Amino acid sequence: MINEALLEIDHLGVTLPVDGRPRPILRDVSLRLNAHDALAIVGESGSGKSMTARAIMRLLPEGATTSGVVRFQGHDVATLSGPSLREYHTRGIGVVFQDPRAHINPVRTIGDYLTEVLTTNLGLSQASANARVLDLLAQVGIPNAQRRLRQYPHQLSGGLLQRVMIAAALAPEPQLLIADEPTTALDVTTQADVVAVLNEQRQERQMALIFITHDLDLAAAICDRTAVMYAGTVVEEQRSTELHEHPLHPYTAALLNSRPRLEGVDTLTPIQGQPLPAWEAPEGCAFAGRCEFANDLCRASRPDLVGPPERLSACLRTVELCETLTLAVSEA
Amino acid sequence: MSPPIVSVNQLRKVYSVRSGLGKRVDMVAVDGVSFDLAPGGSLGIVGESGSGKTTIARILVGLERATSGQITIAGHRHTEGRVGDRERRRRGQAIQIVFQDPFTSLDPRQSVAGALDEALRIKGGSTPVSRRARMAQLLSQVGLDQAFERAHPRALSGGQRQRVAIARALAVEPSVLVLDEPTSALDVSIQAQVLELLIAIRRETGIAYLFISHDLAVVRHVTDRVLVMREGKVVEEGSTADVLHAPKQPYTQLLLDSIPRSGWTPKRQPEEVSGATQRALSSSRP
Repeated sequence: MINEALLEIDHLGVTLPVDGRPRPILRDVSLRLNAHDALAIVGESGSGKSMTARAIMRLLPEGATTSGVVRFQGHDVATLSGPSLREYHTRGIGVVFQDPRAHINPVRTIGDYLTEVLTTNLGLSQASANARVLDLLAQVGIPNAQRRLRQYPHQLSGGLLQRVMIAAALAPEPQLLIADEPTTALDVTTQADVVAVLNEQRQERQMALIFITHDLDLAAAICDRTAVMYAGTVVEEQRSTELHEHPLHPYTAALLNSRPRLEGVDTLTPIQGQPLPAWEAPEGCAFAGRCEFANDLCRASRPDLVGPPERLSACLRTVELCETLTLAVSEA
Repeated sequence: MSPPIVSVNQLRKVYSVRSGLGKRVDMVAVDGVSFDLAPGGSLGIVGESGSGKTTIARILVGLERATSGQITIAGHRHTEGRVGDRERRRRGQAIQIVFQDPFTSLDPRQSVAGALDEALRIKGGSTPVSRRARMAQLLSQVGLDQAFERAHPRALSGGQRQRVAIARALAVEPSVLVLDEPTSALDVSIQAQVLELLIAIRRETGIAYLFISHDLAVVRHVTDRVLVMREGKVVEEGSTADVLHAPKQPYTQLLLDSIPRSGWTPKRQPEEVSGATQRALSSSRP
């Protein structure tokens, strides 16, 4: 089929029970990713960016109820089970989490961790799994790979261990890699290094990437498109360069102007108030309470994510504000 | 020129750690660091994990003891050996600290009023009435409504907690505030609020800051001088503007080049650099 999306998320909602009452975490998330696309999902705490990733991975917490649909190559991922789910979790998607120490078994060697998926799920012999893993470690820039395979996670630095997790995610050659804040716990020089590895591997393998981060600049550096989330919804989605120069949503513009920067004006423009989780969001636009442009209509009705392709915004005043917002980010 | 409010000379801290084989080995966390902080000035100490920046902060406020070196704060030279209660109290009035994680630095059982009242009582020379007045003043100084007085930390967001921690540190009217990564745990929009608050407080009170951070962009906004540290040593020192715009050391340049910004593409580090950083990392994890 022509133009078939690799991943399609349609009006996804996720609700978790808290103290017996349902609490919405995601309200309305729609995203689309073609093969080889790189999409960044950017947001602050509680925006739902990690929950979106978990919904794609079919790793939602116990008791979660969902609405909407997540399709991978046209198949509803909610209907996968047994072998098809295992296939999805190996050749379909690979995952890199923020804290490798929390996701790599501390009492097993790096070699065991890396070869397990290849021998148990893909049916490789131990010898060919070892060979593939040595090759992978070289590709992600880990020297002395032979020795590393015999070591345990505590013997590796955070940066090296994160590269091990990237190697593990790449091992079954997935079509989509989901990286959830993979460098947030790392030093800045190590971050640059790990992100460079991710970027190279994505391009060489022609793999699709979803990169979750709170850093708009990091997002733009490696992803063609950026989606900004707030209170469990996508509020803007554009090409990353456009988003930085011509933001369509007041939240994006405000977030851009509250970043500390190395150049330009040396005053910061904070956003008043604090980010809201979806369950605390009011009736109308969730950002209205912090938005300098909000009017009565904004507070009364919730805007949908609309616009021409690659220029999507969930703001009732997008059209009249776009010049103001462009000016606001160019002055800062 | 008035004498520095903080003067540190040849500070050294050596930890004895057990190596894999049970042998004790020395790990030098801070290696001959000297600097001055002018009254009302703001000095940034920047470095990656294992650079020794937090160890310096902890030594200055008395949470760690230096192996050697001289520290003078507000005209008082720190003596070696055990520190008595009176001396500790006197130092506490000169220098205070705000920690990175507002989720662990406040007592969960103590209300905001309780935390502030305790700090004010330690300062001494106050009555319940004068303390209440001062408490109201502190809360407004950090931009919190009076209603927060009765709140406990669990009811507060990260940014609000950090404001309480700042108010508590300001309660004794110290001449120096050590800020150890005070905004690293906060969201971007909240980080900007707290940084702007810190800038305003220094402008209004003339307090001096020692600002510990891994983030050069943050340091640019809140400091006028900066030390760049690596593996316990000072690599570069100068006015913040000079260091950021015309760095003299390759390591400073590397740090700057690693920060994502418009038009930036990530590059793999040369082997030598990542090797050294990695050694520093593994040695900082005993």
